[in-house]
Amino acid sequence: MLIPRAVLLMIFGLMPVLLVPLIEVVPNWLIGVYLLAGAWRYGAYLGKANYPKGGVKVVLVVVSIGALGWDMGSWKGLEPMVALLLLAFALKVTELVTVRDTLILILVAYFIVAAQFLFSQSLSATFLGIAEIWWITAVLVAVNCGTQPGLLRRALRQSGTVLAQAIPLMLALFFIFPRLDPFWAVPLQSSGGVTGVSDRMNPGDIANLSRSAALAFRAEFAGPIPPNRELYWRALVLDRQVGETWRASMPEPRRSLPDVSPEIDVSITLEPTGQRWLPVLETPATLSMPALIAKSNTAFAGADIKSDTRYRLLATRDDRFDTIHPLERSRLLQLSPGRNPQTRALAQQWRGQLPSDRDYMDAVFRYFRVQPFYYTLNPPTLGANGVDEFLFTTQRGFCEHYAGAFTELMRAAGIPARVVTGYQGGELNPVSGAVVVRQYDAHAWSEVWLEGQGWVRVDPTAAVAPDRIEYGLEQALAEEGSFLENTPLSALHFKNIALINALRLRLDALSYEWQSWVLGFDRNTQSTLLTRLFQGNEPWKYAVTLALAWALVMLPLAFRLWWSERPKVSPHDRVLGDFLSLMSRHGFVREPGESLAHFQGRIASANPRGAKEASAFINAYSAHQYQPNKARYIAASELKRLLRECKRRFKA
Amino acid sequence: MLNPILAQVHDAIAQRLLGKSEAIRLALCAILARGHLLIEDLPGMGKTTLAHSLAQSLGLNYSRVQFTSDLLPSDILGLSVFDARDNRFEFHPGPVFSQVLLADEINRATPRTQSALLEAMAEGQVSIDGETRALPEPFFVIATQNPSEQMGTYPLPESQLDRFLIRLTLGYPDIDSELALFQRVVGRERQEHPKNLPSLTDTQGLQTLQAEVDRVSATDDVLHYVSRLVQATRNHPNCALGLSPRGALALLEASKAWAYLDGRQYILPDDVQAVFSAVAEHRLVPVAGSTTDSRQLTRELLATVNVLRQV
Amino acid sequence: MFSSWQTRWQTRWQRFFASRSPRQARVTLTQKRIYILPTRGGFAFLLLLLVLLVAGINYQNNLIYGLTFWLATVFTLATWHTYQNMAGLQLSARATAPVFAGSPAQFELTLQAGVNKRSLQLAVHTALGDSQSVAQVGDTPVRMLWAEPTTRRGWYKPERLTLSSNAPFGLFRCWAYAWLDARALVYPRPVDAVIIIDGAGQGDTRPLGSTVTQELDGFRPYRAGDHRKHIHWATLAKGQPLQTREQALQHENESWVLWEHYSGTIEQRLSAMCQRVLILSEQDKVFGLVLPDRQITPSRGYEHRAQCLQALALYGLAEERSQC
Repeated sequence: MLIPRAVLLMIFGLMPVLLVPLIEVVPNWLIGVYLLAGAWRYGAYLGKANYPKGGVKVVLVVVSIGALGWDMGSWKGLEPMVALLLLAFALKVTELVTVRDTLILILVAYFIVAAQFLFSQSLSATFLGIAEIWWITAVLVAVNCGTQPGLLRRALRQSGTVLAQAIPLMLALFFIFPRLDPFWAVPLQSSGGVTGVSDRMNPGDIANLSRSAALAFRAEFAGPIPPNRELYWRALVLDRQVGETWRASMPEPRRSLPDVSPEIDVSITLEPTGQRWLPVLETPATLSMPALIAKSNTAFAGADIKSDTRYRLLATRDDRFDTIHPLERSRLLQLSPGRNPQTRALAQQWRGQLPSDRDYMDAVFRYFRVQPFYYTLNPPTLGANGVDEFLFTTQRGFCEHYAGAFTELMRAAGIPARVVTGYQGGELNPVSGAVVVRQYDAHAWSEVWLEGQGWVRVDPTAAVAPDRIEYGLEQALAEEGSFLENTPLSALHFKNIALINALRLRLDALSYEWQSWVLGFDRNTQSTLLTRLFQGNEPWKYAVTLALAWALVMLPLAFRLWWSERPKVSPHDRVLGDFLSLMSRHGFVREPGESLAHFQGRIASANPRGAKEASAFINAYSAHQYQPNKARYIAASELKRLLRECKRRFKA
Repeated sequence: MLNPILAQVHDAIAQRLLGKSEAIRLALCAILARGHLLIEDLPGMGKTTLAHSLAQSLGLNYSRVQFTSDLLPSDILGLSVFDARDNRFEFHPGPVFSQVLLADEINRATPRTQSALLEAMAEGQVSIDGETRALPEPFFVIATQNPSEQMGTYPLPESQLDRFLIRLTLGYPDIDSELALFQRVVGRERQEHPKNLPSLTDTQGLQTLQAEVDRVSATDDVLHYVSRLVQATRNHPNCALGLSPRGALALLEASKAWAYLDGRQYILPDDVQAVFSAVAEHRLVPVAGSTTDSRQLTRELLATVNVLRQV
Repeated sequence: MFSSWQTRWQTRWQRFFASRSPRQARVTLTQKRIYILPTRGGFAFLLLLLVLLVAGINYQNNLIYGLTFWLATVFTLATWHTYQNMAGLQLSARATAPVFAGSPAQFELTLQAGVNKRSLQLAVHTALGDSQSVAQVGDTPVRMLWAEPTTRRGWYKPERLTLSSNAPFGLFRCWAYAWLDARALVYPRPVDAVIIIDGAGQGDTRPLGSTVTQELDGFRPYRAGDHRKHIHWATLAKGQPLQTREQALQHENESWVLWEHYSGTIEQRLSAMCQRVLILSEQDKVFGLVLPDRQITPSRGYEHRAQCLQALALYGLAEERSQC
């Protein structure tokens, strides 16, 4: 059986919906493959192209899989599998002929939806997934219901109906089904898009990142939310200078902390970064997920963060656990040789005058404040001696310029220092109570080792643009007007319009709620929830719940079946039915073809006790039912009364 | 029977045709519903008596044609004859120009002649020599037919049978009626019956009655029952040809007349049942080779189709 | 060994199905008659569910869990929808026309949807393995023809019909069996007589004086339209106005198809007689038929032919085969 045109069009509509959400993780040329496959199949539909035959098919498969392997480098990991799945879908479309082909396609499509969920579980991804499932199921219906007018609409309705009917049982299964441990270690993603701060920092990098309003992570504090100026989200510590670039060295595991009472309790939902770092605050004590906490007060996951990740962080502001080894000290003073002579000369000069570390630091800080430095998202490009140029010529820069220059000045003066990158501040969403941190909150600052004080956070940007720290980037750039200048329609531009802002915040809260809920629902949450719900966790309660959910699904259906097959009976006819069954109980069974008058005659001739009453009933019913004159109307209640008379007489 | 005239007509005919009350009623039914009547029976059963007394008691003029294989259409419809004196054609109307036409043994005539009559019946007018002439009002045909097993006949095709509202068979009289008949000839109750019945009404009166029958109505319940019966004829596995829409309307018209004969202004399912066999039998065509004939079919349908809607 | 065991199983199944659905003139599909099993696509869908569940567990992904449970529930609900698609459907059948043994008997199947319902994508399989599909049975009944081969004369009843549908999801296949109470009349296979006694075929044509006597050779004046065959040309020769012979019909010789004129087995005789009846009615002759237990008076025409052929078809058949 061949597939109808409407189904073909529905499948063409499905193709981009499946591909586009995954385009980040698969080679871009799959778009071309999809266009080609669609065009080929459409050509075959028009009769202008042939379906791929044996040889052509083999070549197609071999070439495209080869290209995929060459492009992705390895078959390990999830992305090649997803890419293969998407490729299989496209290739199957070209040879889509029978209903069976379509069924295979549909199964692959369901699987691709599942793959999309692997990469994003956000609210929008969920809605998209639901729409896709609706559409795919409609294709399944359409291909099995043949060609009729209005096939698409009918298929969508049927598909929507069954999916809606399935919801109660689906929810029951979702909550009750035990969350098992993974059967085997699943391959994690091997490559893919990298976002957020990275483990190397060139001047201009963070400025670039700050042009994006993409979500970095959300943080929900268990206690009071610290003021913005204290929210220094640490991602990476960069302690090596190579040329003009600051780089991170291998993280060194920290020895476990002695007992501390964590003052900060925050749950962080991190968007995929493609990197391992996990944003933390101050001195991280414990993380709820397996992670490495480094000596530099940063934390790293076991693998690249490729999907939404949620963890709870306990941290302390107590920083007395820091020490530095003499060997380490020399590493923290390292500078790339032969660069920025002016800067280093200035450092030597000041250091000569100010032997105290503290005084020297204050002097440098004062320099930034007094000199006409300008905080800008569009700093000029710098040459080989970037810091010299920045400090003495251009004096325009973004946070990484200030942090880099400051750290260089410290190191040149023999004070151990390092650059810290991460995020600063965030926006509190009053609806959800979560702090929303976006890419434009990316920040770089310095840390200086002061004997007796340990690592001290110094943010030179605060000297130049205090608004950045207090109120965030938008305020700091208000004068320049460069905040998100590339995306003029971003809702973030309309914060001052109350309605739009409220809407934006509510939407953000909703998607945060969803994400934290769907990511957070694990075995512990499940057992807490179920124990609270069922007052215990006896298996029979689950069984009963499932049975109830099943009944909830099936009862309306059974009812509908009964309702549609139920004879439509008027009240008068119902009374008549009662009358006839009364008569049959007393031996007078009316044949289907027997008229009431004849039946009446038969009863009368048998002359039972209630013959008169039965006759009266039949007369009343017939008068009501057969006489067109409205004056003959006899109420059903009157019939009921006559029926009661009959019953009484027959019983007697 | 509430209408006194009809009651008198009925009784008058029943005096002559003993024990055939139901057939008389069906015949009256046909005439009240402006339909035609087909009597299928062997000779000597009283077909002519029925037709004759019906016409007389209703005060209608009457003619009779014995159909034979050499009967020509013009023998029934009439003929234009050239009148030499006036030098023009003169039309001599045939027997069809009477209010009641008894067409005896209609299946003996050739199909051509049969269809000439049947067309006249359907249209209420005849076209002769390019001139259309209206038939009298009311116009009522009583055709008789010998059962078709006899040879040398041309059975009426289904499409023509459809033009008869009612088909009935008189059948042999029952013992009582037969005895009563004998008594009249030889017995104590011997009495002279006048050859002619007095007319109890006239054309005007009959047309008034017909107009009253038109006003008989029915509720949805009854109409649904009629519809169920008709549907059942169409869906019955042994029935090759069910009732046509025209047949269904005929059933309703006949039911109306029957209800009126009973003195009601509305139809009961009993009325439908009373006329169903007479209206439907000649219109149903059993499947070739099936052993059930249409009489058994109508009986089965009457017994199985539910009179009540869903109870 | 295995095949015989299989056959035994099959017959046992057939008996089971047959006991659940006796022959009826009109079959309404209800849960007593409708059977349902997953299709191959349905099993593939189950496999997909399993893979999705493993993925959900391995990736600890709640949305995949949700998707899995959603699709699993849809799968179970599909049983109801598939059943619902066929429930209430009414089937009835009747033979379209009598046939001669050896040629296929044709039946007409009428499918009628339940009240306010539509049935989609139905397939009707006959016992002989051919199948026809119906896109939709809705407000109006759908009629379709099917044929089954006949071998013997008598009444032929159709074999079992199977009605199936995968709609609306293709995950389950619903099917129902119907033994419909229709029957086709099968005439004997017409065969030219091999053995003819007493010159049957030629000699069975003999005048029957008794019926011709009445109005032998009446004449009447010619009227336009009289058949040429019936004109009495001799009068024209005498110079008189044209005359037409009356009751010309009765002048033709009547023929008889007589049982005694044929020999051989019963079936051979009947076949030969059948052939003779066909020839005579082809020639529009007036003929009668005589069987040992029955005589049909001479006549002609379609009805007569059908009557004679039916008598031949049912001759000597036990009640159960002529009535069955």
